[in-house]
Amino acid sequence: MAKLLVWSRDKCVFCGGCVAVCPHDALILHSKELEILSGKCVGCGICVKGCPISALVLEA
Amino acid sequence: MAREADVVVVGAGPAGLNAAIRASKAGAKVLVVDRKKTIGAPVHCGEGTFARILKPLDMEEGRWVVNRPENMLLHPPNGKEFNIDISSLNVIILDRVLFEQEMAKRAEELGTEFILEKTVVGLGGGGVKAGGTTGGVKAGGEVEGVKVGGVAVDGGERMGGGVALDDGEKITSHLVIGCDGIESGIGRLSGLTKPLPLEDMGSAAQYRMEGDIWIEDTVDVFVGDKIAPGGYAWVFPKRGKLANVGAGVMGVGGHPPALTLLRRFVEERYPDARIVDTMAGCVPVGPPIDTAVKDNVMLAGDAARHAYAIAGGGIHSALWAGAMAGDAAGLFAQDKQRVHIREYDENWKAFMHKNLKKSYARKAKMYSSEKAMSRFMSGLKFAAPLIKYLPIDPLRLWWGKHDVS
Ligand SMILES: Cc1cc2nc3c(=O)[nH]c(=O)nc-3n(C[C@H](O)[C@H](O)[C@H](O)COP(=O)(O)OP(=O)(O)OC[C@H]3O[C@@H](n4cnc5c(N)ncnc54)[C@H](O)[C@@H]3O)c2cc1C
Ligand code: SF4
Ligand code: SF4
Repeated sequence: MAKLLVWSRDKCVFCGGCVAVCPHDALILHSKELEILSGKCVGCGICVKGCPISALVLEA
Repeated sequence: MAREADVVVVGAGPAGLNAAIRASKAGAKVLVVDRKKTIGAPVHCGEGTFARILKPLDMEEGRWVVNRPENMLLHPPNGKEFNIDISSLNVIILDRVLFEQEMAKRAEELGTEFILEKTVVGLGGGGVKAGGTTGGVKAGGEVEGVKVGGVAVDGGERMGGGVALDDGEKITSHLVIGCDGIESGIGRLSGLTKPLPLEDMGSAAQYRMEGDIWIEDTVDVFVGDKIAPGGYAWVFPKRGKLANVGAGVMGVGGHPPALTLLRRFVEERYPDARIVDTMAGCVPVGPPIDTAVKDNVMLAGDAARHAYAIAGGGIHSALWAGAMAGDAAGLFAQDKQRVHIREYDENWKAFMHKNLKKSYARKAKMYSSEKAMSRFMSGLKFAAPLIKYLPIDPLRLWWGKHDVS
């Protein structure tokens, strides 16, 4: 099963780096929230690497 | 009721604000959309640039220039730091919140309207299907069953006829300028850009710090694997005791997250300074794209990868690209001739394409290993004492006649 991507609202600085690198268009950065489209996210973890402050993690 | 405009600008950063100013000044009806609540905040930037940014601006220098450092202290991997007199480079440090708010005020005076706290999730215009989808909303087609702003221009319906917001609102326009930064939804929806490969994305974290340690007229730059492998760390002093202290990588590889690098660096170097706040962000540091226009869509700034890979600087180029795109939009609003869009593409390329390429090639070499970086630093150390005696602008010598106008 694909791993679950978890976003931390407290850490996020809304920089958009994760959206820029996601190859599957699975993220939308709103004004106060990062939306993860569960139907599109494949749990590849690329966005986790791109985030400068570790506001995203993959959970098994 | 759906709102309408001649031009929708997505993103109120330096590129978008300058595009809005120019297009409004030419008489176009301009709507700017940004996700942020407060224009300019939070900042994702070191705020260091050159006084030459004033050239493409439609306003005078203001309180937003907070410092003019005249020295740069370079800290190479061998620890033997050396100073460069950079007074002839006219480096300035900005307060980007003030700067962008000042630009927004100017845009508003000229008639620009702003829609804040909304994210653009769809790109409309009948006929031509856009490359992908964002947020489950199909581009170039229908948003919740309603067609988004298809416009007939030069005898056909094209993409760029409007945008859809995340609250469901649709805005109709003749033209869309994507100034939406590194993540550029407009870039992806139009098919002009692809997701950034990790190695082409710079990722950095920064503290605003207060302390007695920094010298107000000196910026510090640190390189080497110990501090920032494949990148650099910086201290850009602002007014008084404040400084931007940051660290980042010029391409995401196997290194720790930027904030981890920064934390280590600060603990070792500035343990006594107080952290006022934390920010972070990403910047495109890959090769330039070959075209930033398609149908009735133009990209400018980070969205069009208009940043200099060698150091990740993009304020100056975003302002110029925004100005050029705004001028084109102003002309387009008058006669609806697509030649203006094509001219924008030619203009930004004539201005910076060659240098963006050169900058990328240098970056790829320089940051490839600590040894390569040390070699570059030795060269700089040798040349440093000469810089202030150069009879011409040192930036012009480095970049050629392009770009430094
Ligand atoms: C940590 C860091 C330090 C840097 N330091 C420097 C420096 O010292 N000097 C320098 O010259 N450059 C620096 N840069 C680069 C510089 O910040 C950028 O090149 C510059 O901001 C680009 O301007 P822009 O207008 O293209 O985009 P941005 O300033 O990124 O503006 C884009 C805007 O679009 C909005 N947006 C994005 N998507 C949407 C959407 N779908 N809907 C609505 N709104 C949207 C965002 O909220 C944002 O306000 C740094 C970058 C980082 C990350
Ligand atoms: S885990 Fe992969 S697919 Fe999911 S949001 Fe991140 S980059 Fe996109
Ligand atoms: S990269 Fe990290 S900090 Fe930036 S928007 Fe994404 S989750 Fe937030």
